[in-house]
Amino acid sequence: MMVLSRLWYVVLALLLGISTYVVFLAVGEYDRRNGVAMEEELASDSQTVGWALQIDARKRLDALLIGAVDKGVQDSLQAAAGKDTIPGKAKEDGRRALNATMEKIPADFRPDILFEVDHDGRAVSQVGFDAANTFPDFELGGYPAVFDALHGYLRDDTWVLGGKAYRVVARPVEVDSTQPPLGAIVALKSVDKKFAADISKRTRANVAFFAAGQRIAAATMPGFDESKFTAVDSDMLSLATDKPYADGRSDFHPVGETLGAIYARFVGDAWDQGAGFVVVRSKTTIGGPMGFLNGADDKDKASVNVALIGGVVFLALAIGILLSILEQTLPMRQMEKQAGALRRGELDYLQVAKFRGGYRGIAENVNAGIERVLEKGGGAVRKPADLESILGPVPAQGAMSAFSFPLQDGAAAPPQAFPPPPGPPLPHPAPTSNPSSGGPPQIGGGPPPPRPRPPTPVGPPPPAIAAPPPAAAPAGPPNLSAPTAPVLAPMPLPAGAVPSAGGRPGGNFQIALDDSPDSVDGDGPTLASALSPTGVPIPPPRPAGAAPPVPPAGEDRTMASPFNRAKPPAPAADPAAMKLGMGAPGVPGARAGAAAGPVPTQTMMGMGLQAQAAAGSKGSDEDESTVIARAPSEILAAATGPAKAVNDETAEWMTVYDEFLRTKKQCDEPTDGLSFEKFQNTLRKNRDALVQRHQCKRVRFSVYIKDGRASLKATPVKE
Amino acid sequence: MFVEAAKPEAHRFTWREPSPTVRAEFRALTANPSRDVCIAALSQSPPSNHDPILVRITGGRTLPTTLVVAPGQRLSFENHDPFPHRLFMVSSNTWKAETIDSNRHREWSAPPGAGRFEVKDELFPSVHSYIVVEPQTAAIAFPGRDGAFSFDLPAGDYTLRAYFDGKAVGKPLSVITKDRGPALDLKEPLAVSDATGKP
Repeated sequence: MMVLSRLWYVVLALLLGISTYVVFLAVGEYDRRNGVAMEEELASDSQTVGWALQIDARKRLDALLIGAVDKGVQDSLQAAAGKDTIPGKAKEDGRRALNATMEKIPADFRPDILFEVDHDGRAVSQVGFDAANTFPDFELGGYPAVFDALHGYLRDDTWVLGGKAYRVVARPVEVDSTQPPLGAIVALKSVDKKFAADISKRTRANVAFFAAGQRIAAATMPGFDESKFTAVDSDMLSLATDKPYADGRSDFHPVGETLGAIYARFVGDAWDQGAGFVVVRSKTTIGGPMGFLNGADDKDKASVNVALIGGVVFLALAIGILLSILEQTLPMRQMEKQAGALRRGELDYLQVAKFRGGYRGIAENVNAGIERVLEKGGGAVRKPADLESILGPVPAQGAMSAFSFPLQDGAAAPPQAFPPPPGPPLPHPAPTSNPSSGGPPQIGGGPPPPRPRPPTPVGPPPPAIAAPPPAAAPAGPPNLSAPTAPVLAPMPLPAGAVPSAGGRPGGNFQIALDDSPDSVDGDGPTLASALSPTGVPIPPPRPAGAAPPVPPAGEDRTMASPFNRAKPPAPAADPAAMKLGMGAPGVPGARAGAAAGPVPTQTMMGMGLQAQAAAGSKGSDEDESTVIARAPSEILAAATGPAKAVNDETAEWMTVYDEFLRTKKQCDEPTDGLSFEKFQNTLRKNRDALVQRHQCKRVRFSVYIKDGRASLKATPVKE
Repeated sequence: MFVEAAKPEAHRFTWREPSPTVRAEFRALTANPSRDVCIAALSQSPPSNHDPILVRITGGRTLPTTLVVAPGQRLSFENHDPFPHRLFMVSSNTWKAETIDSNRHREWSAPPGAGRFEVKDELFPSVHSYIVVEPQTAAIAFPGRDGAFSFDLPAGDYTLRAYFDGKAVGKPLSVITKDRGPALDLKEPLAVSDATGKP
């Protein structure tokens, strides 16, 4: 009950679990990949800033050419050359020349400080570094960049003067190519906020410059809070022990939980002064499944395929609702409908066939409850159709019957119908299991499946049949397979029966009711088979309380009757027969109690199934039915008057008789003693019984081969 | 020191290229005699009680960069830069790095016996000076821009020797001075390097 719905819940739960798992995996993977990406971006940033500084130095060096060839600078240096004390005029001229040079240099590469240095390294003039004026003997010649420039080299450098970093470029100043350079012009660009912003803008990096362990300037890209660099200040202390940094560039430094940094050293004198720059990036982490929601912006949200999600939700919802409707609403509605019909008297029982799954079990239980209540109240109870009440006693086995069983001499015993026991329906006998194997209950050795089957409405209940007289049940050993079950009485052999020699009457045949779904009886499949020996007319239904016919003495055919009630214990039965639920062959009066499976609470269908199960040792699925097609209506309409009907029937039966004889011969069966009169008599009695039983107009008979033997099948026709 | 700084592995520059208009012979990294060479007059009986010698700290170096002093000679390192320096004696436990602010000085006395001391600056890697303690040092002189130098020595026998980068270079030159005589001119120059420019 609700299997699919619950399965859907399981599917949804699994999907939810998988989705959660995937989300957590995605978070971890996103964070990890983001961390790797941040490291790569930082390495790229650091490299880019380094290249930007190189390019900047180159451009500044080139821009300084303006000062190197400036006439005023040259004259100033010329005036100071060779003098122990630099003339004041030379200083002043030099200062003016430097100012002019400063103005000529493009703004992007304009230095903050300009020096002109003579060949001894003395600062002749300067612009932008007035502190040097305090020291008349201020020099710059000891710096390698200036020294190189004085010796004819273009050179860049980075200085840290008083805690401030400067990017330095120097060029020689020449007047005569035959002489050493007259001096040098040196430009210093302070590494300050403006410089940092310029580098950051060019490189799109968050960069900070530091010297002597102190951050001296920083600039960030929009969206990055510069205050985050305070975390870098403390991390900078770890550079002293950072070996990669000693070689020029550090590895990735995680700064706190959300920052990453890579440090690089300045080239130049600042290399040894602990100066350099650091690039910083924020670490974008999700942190958890909800982080996706918190970190998503409008663009992210806009890119979500809402239609797809809606479709998935709708589909899941639709499937869930559909399954609940199929498994809960519809069955409940059906139950409600039938319950209402039951209350209004339109139904006596719930229609089990219209229920499925657990609801069918409920309906069956309700029907069983109705039966029990009716039974307690003394009302008429629907019970399985009593075959014997309709057809009369049948031989235990028919030689050609699908329900025939091997006799003692190996011949098949003819089927036999037994009158149902009189009185109320028998309760289900306890199932018996195979004593040798302990396996499941055997066919006929126990009751039908434990679940009670509600009776299928098949018409009025059969008349009660009196229990057979105890004398009819000869004493014998009890049935070992069902010791507690009543023992089958010997099969009565109706008068007129023509047994064949050796217990195998060649004229015996069986008539089986057509229970195929396309049966024209209008009731659908009901009676699976009816048994009757050939030439033995099927006895008419016995009135209530009538004793079943007693088989002739010496008759060795026995058959278990599912309707027999308590009977004397049967003699020891043949295990094979016992297994089939039939009386032991050759043991008169033996009755396989296990064959008494069908009980009054069993439906006709159940009986049929059981009869089919007991019909042959090769399995019930070998029972095949031959269906007589519905007679064309125009033919039926053409037939008028009872005489014509009788004649037609006789002609039809003759055809059937001929067909039957031909079939028997084909099957290499004896046909001695099987006259048309006997055949007709048998068919008539069967017809009468079936007409009464099914309230049909007539019965059609057809010939078919069952287990290599000719058999007859009766099909009630209502029209 | 400048030669070392000119090597790429020193990480001292990004760009360093010769000016195309400066002849190669002028691009040789040669010392400035007036800054880097010290001439010492060595005597068997040097006088004592010299006044402190002023060593200026400016321009990324000390002036002079090489000094030859007698034991007990005091040196005064004076900062002529507008920013502090932190000089220290290499491998010395007594003269460690100490800040010398602008216009401030720090003294050092030459220990007894001969020795060679290396002075550096924590804040300026280009500052790299040498102090040679020579017990026979009677006087020192520094060449001018033209390479000329002069001593004021008492009468006696002396040996003139040039020092560069903390080491004696060239051939020593012996001179004999007379008391209260006229100035003595050297008949031949004091060579401090060979023809290739190497000391």
